Amino acid sequence: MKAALPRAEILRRARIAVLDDEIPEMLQDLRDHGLAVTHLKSVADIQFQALADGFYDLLLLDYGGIGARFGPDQGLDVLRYLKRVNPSLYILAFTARTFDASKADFFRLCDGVVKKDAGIRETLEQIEIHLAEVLTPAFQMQALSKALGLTSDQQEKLEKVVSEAVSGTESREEAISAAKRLAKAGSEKVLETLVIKAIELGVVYITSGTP
Amino acid sequence: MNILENLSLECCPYPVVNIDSPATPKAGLHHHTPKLCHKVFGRGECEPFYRSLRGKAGRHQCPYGFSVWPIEICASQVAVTALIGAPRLGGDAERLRAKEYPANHVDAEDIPKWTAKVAALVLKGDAERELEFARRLEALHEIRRLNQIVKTNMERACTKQSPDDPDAAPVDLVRAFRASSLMSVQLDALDLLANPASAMSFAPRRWVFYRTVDKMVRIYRVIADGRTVTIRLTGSSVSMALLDERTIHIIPSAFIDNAVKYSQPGGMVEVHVSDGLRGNIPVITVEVTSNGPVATPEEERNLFVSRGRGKAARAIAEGSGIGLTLAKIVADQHKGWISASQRPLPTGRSEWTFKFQVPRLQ
Repeated sequence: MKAALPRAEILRRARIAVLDDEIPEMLQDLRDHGLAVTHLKSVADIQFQALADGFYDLLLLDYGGIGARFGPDQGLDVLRYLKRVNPSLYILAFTARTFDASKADFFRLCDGVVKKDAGIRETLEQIEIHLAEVLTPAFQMQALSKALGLTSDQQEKLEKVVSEAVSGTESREEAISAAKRLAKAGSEKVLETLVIKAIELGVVYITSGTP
Repeated sequence: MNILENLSLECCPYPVVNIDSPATPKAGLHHHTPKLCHKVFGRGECEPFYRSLRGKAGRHQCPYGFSVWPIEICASQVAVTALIGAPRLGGDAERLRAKEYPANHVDAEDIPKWTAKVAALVLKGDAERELEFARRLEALHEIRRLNQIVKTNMERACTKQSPDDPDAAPVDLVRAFRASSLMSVQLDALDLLANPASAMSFAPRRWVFYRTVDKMVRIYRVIADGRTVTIRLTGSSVSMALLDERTIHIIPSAFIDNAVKYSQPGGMVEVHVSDGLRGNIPVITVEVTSNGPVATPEEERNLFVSRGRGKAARAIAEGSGIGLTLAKIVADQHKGWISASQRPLPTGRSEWTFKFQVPRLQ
């Protein structure tokens, strides 16, 4: 279940956030192309918690000007925090200064780079490529396992329960309870969101005939 | 050692020795190196003495009685040496040196004073240089920000006219759109030049190289059209490689830029992308072929060395010659292979082929 979903399904399901102190030039263009994009001006934005809770699939993260609540390195500190609490969130560096040596860690730890001056089509293309990777049951299960601190045995057990929920032999609630029993770490909110995402993506795979 | 540190040591009035690699003291502007130092340095006592001063401060006496002050100017650790300081430290050797070298007498307080003054000046100079550098980067960033607005608007205008392919929009619109894209590419190169250390960091992702080449071809068509040069992209590859999205475009950009620049009106630039093998290693290859000025064998060897443009090339077109140097840096970063070859033509020009190969993911 690593293959990408059909494009229409990706556009329908994807939740994208942009954390940038300035309104991105192409925000409306991305929305016009069918992407659900939320703009957050800083970490003080009310939507920020939703990033930690697993609501969003992909974040375009600027480095500077987004608030120092998590540390003086702003973008880098936010990146470290979000990766720790919600490993399923795919984070792309969204900045104009791609060669600033002082931000080498930021670029290294991000899952990819989208340059602010990449243009509309190229940005869309890159976002869709990354979303195709994220919106798979395999990616979600892996992230879930990381968030919950599972061993490979436990991961196998959880995969079985989720598969049963996908096929309808078990309920979603049952899968969530099983995940909670196995969890060693992570927040309940993230756990619930990721289990549901994995199940829903699994269902889409089965119904759409994706290999 | 930066220029200011170097300058301050070159202008030092006193003889100095580099503590990290001790040798016979280098003469100062006012005080010369005593003949004795030249004579005795090779005997083996001086080198360990200077090395033992690393991390120390204050005034010391060398095995031959001279006063020595280990000092630090920014990152440089040196010793001001071969002087007889007043008040004296004492000892027979010092008494002898004082008689032999009357021109090397100094007030012992002068050395720390001079050091503090110079170190402060170097620090101030460094801070001003960094500030100036930051200002330039800021200006570069502002240009990029404005260009981003132009680019997005021009792309919007092109897409409105030709929703499926913005490059099929009216030619003036496409030209403006691609000119701003070209500016982004050039700003990337400037950014990389301003932050060469970042080229050492490598953030590879799986990416289809053909996409990058295709993008560069579309961007450079603007310049090529203006020179009535045709760019043709042939071959095909859907293969992925581990590429650093921040830098990889610099290679096809430098190749195509040069090819267009040195082509004659009506000329052709052929860009070919293919999958193949280099020995046993699966690779993706991009080759850019065009006609250009002849280079001597030495010039050909130096093409990827800093500013290695040939004489004939300099006569034809303006340029810094830095593009291929950057391309080589990026090729090394990707553990790829970069090369250039020329085939003499009867017209007195050469057919040039620039080639880059990067390991292909399977």
